Amino acid sequence: MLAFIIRRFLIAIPLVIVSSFLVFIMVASSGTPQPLENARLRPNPNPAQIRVLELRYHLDKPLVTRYWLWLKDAAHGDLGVDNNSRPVGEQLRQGMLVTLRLVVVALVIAILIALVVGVVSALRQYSVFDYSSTFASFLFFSLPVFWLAVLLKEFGAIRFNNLIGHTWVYTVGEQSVRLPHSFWARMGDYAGHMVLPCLTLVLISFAQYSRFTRASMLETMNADYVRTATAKGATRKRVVTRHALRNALIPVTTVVALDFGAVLGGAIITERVFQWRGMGTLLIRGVTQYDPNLVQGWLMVTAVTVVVFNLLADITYAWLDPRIRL
Amino acid sequence: MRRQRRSTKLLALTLGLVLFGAACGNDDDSGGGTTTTGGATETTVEGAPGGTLTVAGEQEHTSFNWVNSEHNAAWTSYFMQLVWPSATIFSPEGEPVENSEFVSYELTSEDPQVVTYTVNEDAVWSDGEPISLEDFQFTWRSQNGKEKSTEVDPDTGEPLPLFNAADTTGYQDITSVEAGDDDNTIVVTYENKFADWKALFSPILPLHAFKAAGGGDEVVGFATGFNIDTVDLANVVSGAWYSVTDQQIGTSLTLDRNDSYWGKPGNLDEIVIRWITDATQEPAALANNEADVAFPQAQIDLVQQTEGIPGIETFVGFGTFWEHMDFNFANPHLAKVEVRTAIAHAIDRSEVVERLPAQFDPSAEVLNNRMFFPASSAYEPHGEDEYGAQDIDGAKALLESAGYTLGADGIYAHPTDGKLSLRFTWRDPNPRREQTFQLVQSQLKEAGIEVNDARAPDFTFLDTGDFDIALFGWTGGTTLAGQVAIYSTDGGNNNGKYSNSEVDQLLDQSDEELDEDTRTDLLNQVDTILWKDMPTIPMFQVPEFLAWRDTVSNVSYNGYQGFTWNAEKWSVA
Repeated sequence: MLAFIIRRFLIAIPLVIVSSFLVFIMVASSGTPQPLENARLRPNPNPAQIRVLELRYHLDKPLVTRYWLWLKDAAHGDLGVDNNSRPVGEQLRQGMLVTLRLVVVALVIAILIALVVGVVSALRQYSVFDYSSTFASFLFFSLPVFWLAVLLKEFGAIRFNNLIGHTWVYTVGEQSVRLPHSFWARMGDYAGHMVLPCLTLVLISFAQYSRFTRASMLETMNADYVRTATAKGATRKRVVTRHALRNALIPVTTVVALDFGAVLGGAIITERVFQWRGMGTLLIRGVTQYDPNLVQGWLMVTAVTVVVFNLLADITYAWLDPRIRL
Repeated sequence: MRRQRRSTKLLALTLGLVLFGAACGNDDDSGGGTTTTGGATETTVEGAPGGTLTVAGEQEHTSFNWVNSEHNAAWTSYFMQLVWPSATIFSPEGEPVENSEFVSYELTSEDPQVVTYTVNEDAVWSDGEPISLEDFQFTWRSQNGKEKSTEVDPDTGEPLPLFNAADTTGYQDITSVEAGDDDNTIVVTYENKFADWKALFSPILPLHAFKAAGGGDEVVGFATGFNIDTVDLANVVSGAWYSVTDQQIGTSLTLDRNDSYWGKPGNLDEIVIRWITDATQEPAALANNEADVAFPQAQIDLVQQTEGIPGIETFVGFGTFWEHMDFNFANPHLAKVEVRTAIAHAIDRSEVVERLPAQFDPSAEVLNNRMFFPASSAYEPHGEDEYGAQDIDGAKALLESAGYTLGADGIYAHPTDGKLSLRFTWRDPNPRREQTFQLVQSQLKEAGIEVNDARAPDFTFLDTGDFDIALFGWTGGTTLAGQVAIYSTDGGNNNGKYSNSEVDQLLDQSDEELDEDTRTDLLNQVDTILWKDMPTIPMFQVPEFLAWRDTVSNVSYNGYQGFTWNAEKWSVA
């Protein structure tokens, strides 16, 4: 196991370095940092001020040299500053906390709902419940995230708040400007801001997981050992919970672990629509403002996260299924 | 089972049609608030003091010192003009108006140019320090570009500026800022005349706060002392109606009424700026009472969506950002005035305006002057008579007079310079400019001129001269000094390398002409010549969009000063 883990990390290191090089070259050569562009486009540009900015962004150096300067600092844990001199590391830390808050809650709810729906659908295959849940899964899986978000804003927030005569569900941000003093009121504020983005992620994620759970459960329920358990007189409940469910969860666990690692890079569209300043928002800002340091920092964090969670998925799979050897 | 399958299919079909209909449906409900269009005029209502108002902010500041080149964003100036006082505020018509509660000023000598400022003796910063000569001196020092640091440019060995100011225009012409007859009088002497002197000292920078923010060094304070990640808000002192009292990075900025302000206090207790960086989310925020005022970038869908929200008033104005086409004189075709004027005749600017800015407001008009905007009393539409309407025959006649002949492919060609095929470049992505290109391309084709898509990912093409026709915009308005850089020979922004000695002379004269009427006349003379030489073709002003809740009073558009120009008068019912 240890050798496997070490091997995976060793493979990941050159992969991440090559990715960082390619991304840096793409972002750095795709445009000019906004402050410099503004300075150049001013009706009366001052060459000396423009030169200061060019040197600040190392534009006097070749791209490869600029990448090397970044790599040297990154190797020491310094992700540098962005185009506006804001520390990249601190922004990523804040962004990760925001994304974690959203993603963890959404995925936990999505998994719970998906498990229930998937298992019941499998056990009651071709029933009204099965057909309804299948339809709902395909529907939500197919809906564009931004379109679903707009619908939720209109009906889940604006009209709902008009109905109750009070703003309880919010459409932007992860908290109010002025947080209430009491603990429960504060929790209510967080919840009110979390409802819509969470619901968006839940609806789309549960669709995927419930399909996996259903398929896996169907396969497991048709296995010989399950038939044997039934023949031996075990109750249905015991057969499902003690024998089938655990094995059916193996592929689902793998999918969730992989998905979790990826989505920690930021539920980009959801964060954008609901104005949550998470990892996705940082990535968009880095790309649209041609900020290579910010994008590189995001890449580093996301790459490490994906590698770790991929590894966790493999380890969990091996732990759940003794037949698997790492 | 068959019946169940049939009903299942019917259900699926019905639901599918419902979804399809929802996707294609168009909500024509126009039960929204009031839309005001046309010119901006202010009708002030004396509102009851008090209350809190939330503004949806589109671009969060990265530093409170927006005078620093690295942090020079318009949105920062919108709220900081309520905090750091300005000597001048520009009216919605673009006229400089003395901020008389703070300072009065007078041009006390024309040769040499001397301006005397008299600061209100009650004027103090919010920490009790008086607004004084040293603040005026620091404002000048930090923006004149004259002081050099010990760092040098590695390529040239030249020392770099000590203060990285966004704009040194005007300040570099000042030779001294000294005390006058008393503590409240400040005398500013110019070594070179500067006609836009009223625009200077807006804002005044608090020296003592910059020192404190820089650990005792105002240079450090100017560079990094007000960056939002490290700033101590106590150093963001106020000399105007509001003080910065709270910031939650990424979420909001709070301004509270400055109780130390000596003049008429701001009406509202508090103005909160809620950062909503995606403009398309602002209508929902307005509808859900999470914002009361919004100033998003104008997009047609966003405007229509906001206009449909009950209880929201809107205004479409035309700001100081204007689009134009520039010709590169290095191109042998465009070096000929006949070709440039033929292009101007062939383009139907009215159609472009009708298809683009007029979609926001039918009062959008073609720009026929490069120096002034239609709202200004100085505006003379010099281009209207000759270039107001498309004239394909006139264009063709001009080309033929320059030796061009029409080819079999319908495109003109010159015996020595070849086919009249030009690159049309703009910074991509930009849907408006892409649409402009498509319209212009088809119009020019009628006149036998071919233009091709040569879009670029950034504005480097302007610096390198790698373009034939460039479509981009300038921010004009409050100062006219920028015209020198655009149209004079070897001017910093003369990207097409146009040169006319008469224009150079008139521009130099206008830059030093202190009489406004004479200056206006000089600039209009320049514009008249530019219409003959046609180095550029002005197109239109870019629309701006302002929305506010109908319970908020005194919100009005000002393309020159920003929508917060009178925020101290805003009130909520």
